[in-house]
Amino acid sequence: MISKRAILLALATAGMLAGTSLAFAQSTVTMWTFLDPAKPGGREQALKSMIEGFEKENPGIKIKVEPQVWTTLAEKFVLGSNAGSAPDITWVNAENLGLILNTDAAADLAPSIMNKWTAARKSDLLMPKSLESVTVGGKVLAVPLMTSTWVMMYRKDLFRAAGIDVASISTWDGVTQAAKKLTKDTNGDGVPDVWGIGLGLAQERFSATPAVFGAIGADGGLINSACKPLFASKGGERGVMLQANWVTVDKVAPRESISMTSDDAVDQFAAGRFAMQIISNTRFEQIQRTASNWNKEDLGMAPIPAWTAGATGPQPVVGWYAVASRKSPRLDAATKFIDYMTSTSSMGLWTEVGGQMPMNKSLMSSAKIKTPQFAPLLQAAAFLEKGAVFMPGACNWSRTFADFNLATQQVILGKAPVADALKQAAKATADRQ
Amino acid sequence: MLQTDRLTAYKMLWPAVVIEAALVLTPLAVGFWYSLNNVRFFRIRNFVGLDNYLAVISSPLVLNSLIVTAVFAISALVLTFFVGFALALWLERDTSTSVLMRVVVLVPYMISMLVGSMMLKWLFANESGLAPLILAPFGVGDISILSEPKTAMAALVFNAMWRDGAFAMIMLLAALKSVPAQLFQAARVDGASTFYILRRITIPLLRIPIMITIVRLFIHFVNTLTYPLILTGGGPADATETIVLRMFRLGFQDHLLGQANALAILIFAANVIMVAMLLALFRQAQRI
Repeated sequence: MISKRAILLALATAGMLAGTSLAFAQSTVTMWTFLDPAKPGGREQALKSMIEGFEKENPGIKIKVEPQVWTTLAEKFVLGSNAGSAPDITWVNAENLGLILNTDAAADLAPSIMNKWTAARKSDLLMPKSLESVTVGGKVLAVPLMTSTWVMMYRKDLFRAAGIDVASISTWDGVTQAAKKLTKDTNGDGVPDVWGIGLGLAQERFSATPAVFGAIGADGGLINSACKPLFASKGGERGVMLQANWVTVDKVAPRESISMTSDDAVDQFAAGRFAMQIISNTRFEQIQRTASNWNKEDLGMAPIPAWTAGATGPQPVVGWYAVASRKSPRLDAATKFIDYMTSTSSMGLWTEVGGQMPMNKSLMSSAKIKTPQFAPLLQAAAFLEKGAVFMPGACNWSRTFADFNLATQQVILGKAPVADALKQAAKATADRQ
Repeated sequence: MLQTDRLTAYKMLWPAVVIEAALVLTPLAVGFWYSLNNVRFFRIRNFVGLDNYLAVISSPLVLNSLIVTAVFAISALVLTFFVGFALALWLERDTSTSVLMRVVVLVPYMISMLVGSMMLKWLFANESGLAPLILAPFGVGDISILSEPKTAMAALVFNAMWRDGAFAMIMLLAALKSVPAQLFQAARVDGASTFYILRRITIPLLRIPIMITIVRLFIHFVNTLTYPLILTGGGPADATETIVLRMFRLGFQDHLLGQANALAILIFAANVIMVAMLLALFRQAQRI
């Protein structure tokens, strides 16, 4: 006769075994991103919804987000991969893709993601070339999650007061002329209170400046596919001299631009000190929110200017990409979630909830986002459609903008002629390849 | 010492030695190995021997940063020492005013270096800072302090003096307190002037603590990264890029780890020499 004690012991053992097998059946995919789904914010809530939706459809897979400082994501992923402790998925910004693509840290996503896309999904991509830039040796090593570009933000009220038509700033000469009209000393102390154009030329916390776009516009690109810098050229010199002259000759940008970071310059723009500035389109809402002493509805966006009238200025495509660790023991689950994050429905969430630029043609024509709320995003997407420029993903251009800033500083301060300054900048970029 | 005492001493020492080996010697050895290799994208690609050292020594940017470091370190040292010494002499007496002023002087030292440098950066900003308001009555309100090489260096030196003057004051104040008060009293009774007391009593008796303070400050200014990184970013046009900032950029921004480690080893060697001087001074102080 079996005792009660034996039965209880058997039941307890069976329960433990069931729990253990359940734990083995469920896998946890770790993802590094700068977003924290537990915090408020459009992108955070979009990501949270995606995770909840994915886990519901895939009960055996849990997504664990470990928020990181955005500037360290790529480096930490590569170092983690070297040490065997990389997360299953990480987010990488376009500027740091070179670091990922030049190591063997990232998995080939083509077999598990792109090769399974339907023709309809492939043709729905707004910028299919974005996948070419992350393809190395036939392997697709990253997938774009969010896209952004730079635009010329301007103050509509100041333009109206000065009688300037926004169409006139479609060329760099037009920008210079407009900046001269917009630079004003309103209190008569001899120092402009509103500068025609804002620049952030520091070597830390930098962003793209007009010299970069001028160089790309003149040379067709910043770096070629062999990762050789193209900007130690007449085109590059033209770009650097354009913004150096704004400070020294035209006096439409403050000398302090030399020491301003891009964040400082954006703050000054929001404070009403600059009438125009080249800024990432992702900052549109932030500037409207922090606009001081001017109406946020007067914030306008124009495409990057070109050197000649009628031409399209370059719109470099940047943003965030998802990368899977090649050494991940949960690679199937990781790529499944990456595919989910980049599906048409998730792209809708990134735009409608996260406030990101649409990356699908179907989304662009969707009635949901053809509202005033999404107008800036649609406008930026339209700029990209016309003038998208893709940087070679395998090239390390993460500090090339800082190299341009240093070259401009040297020219403004008379430390080096523009040709020598650009040669130094090109060498610095080349040394990092 | 008995053999058993010696064994006991070694037994008590070995955990510290193991920790020191793990946390200091191992990274040093790895760094040295990296400095002998071509390291790209965090991977050792091939052995290059001393090529990284040659590249670093012959680099115009490194040469510039050596000159910048010398100018910054010496200027900051002179200013910081004199300000610290003056404060120590002024605040030596234990009056309520002195005690309060010591606290006030110590505040910049208590603030984190990063926060202090950021605060000064805002202060010096021409477009939005206080500096233009303060300098305007003198007719120089529209100078962009951080955008001109000379004024940016002056700002950096000011940052160092503002923060580390308190450290110099503490070191020298402690030394002053160790001088018997009777010596000063006797000198005053004999009619010695303040300047005579300073020149013939105070400074000779404080010779070793002064040397220790100077060497300690010099080591600090040569090795500090926060001031140039946060206040000036090494600019404008590398006018304030010190050797440590150059090393930081080589390693953490350009990811040229071979060259960065080569430069780090050279800086380490220089630091060893300076610390050896400091230890010699300490030994001399103990003998007195």
